[in-house]
Amino acid sequence: MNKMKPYRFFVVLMELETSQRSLILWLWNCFCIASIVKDWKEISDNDKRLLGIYFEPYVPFCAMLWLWSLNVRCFERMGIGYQKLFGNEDSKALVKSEALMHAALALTTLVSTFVALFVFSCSVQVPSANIFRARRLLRSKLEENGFLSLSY
Amino acid sequence: MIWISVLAFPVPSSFQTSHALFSKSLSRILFPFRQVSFADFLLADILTSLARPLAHLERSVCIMMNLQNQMLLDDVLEQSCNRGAVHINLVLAAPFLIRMVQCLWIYKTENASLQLFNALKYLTVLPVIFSSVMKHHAQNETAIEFWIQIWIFSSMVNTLFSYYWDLEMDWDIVWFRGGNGASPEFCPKIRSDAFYKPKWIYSFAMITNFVIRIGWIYKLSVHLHYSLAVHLVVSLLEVCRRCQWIFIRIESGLRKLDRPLPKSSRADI
Repeated sequence: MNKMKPYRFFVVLMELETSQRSLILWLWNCFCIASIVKDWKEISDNDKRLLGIYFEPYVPFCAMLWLWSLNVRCFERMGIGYQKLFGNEDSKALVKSEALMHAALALTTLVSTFVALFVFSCSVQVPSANIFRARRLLRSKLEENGFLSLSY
Repeated sequence: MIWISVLAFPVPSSFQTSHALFSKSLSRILFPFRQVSFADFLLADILTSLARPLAHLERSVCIMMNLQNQMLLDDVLEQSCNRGAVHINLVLAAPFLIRMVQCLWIYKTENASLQLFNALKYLTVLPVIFSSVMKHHAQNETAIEFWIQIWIFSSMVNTLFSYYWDLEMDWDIVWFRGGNGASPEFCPKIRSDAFYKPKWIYSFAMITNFVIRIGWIYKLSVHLHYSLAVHLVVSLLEVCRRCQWIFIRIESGLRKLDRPLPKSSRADI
């Protein structure tokens, strides 16, 4: 049996078309939200407070990136040469709004994944077994759907 | 940790130049004693809008480290990681201090006297934060009352100064200084060559900018205890205000560069 390649999933994800990758990330975000909603009642008030403390600061950062990409999208559509303000050297490094939105989506996915993991681990009753249970559940789900068999 | 890994993580080739610019600007604003580019100033201005989330980030790291030492959450929140803690408020003030240093540096290198007033604008944030922290630590009623009065006064000064600066200096809207030899206006007056149509967009931006700036005082005030949801809403409103600010700031920046916006693309928003 071949060894499982740990980053195979990310390699496949990066090789996809941008629209396909976006679709997968949106679906993953929906899955994370559904997971959070499902486990929400299971977690204690203390854990809810911790969740807010740990993850609330990331939301404005993600929002700022989304809104900056919205700024750039509007400038592009209205033909405003905002790049001129950045000077010759820096303007070469500016990317199009589509790429910015993709980066914002990736960042949002990262945060929502961590939130879902946090909520899931809090919803499991025995804290010391959280990681083990999460891994076992993920593995069984992947095996059920035939994802892991591709990597062996 | 997420942000550090995002900065350090290898990115796809299409993002590498932007990633490099972001990292370069971030390092330049952290050590601002050098020439300030537009990217540096814009990123630093955006960071001032994210000052409260940055302080919360510092607080969450503080809580995380203390909880590892088997302390109870309520004890941690009351003791080492309370809202009046010095290290949390230093992080809160840091973006404004960085922006102030940038202004002073431009004044030093280019002798642009207007930048001194801009630096003063960022300096007015400090009394707001300081009085709020002092109020948080005050023990008796008299002291609490005193610091509340200082806080209200400094907040009003900061808000009005920042609002005036947004309109007249950043957005190039004719007001007290007048424009092109014109006399000062009692009310802010939108330029005839304004790019975005219809023009009420500017009026809307001026009103919402003021309203959200009042909410922005709340972010700097550690003694105003509300839920995290309120914190989040206020932070998101501030981010929206910054997005709106960028639209008009880019327009005025291009006008100042004496490069007229393309007439062919003068579309309504």
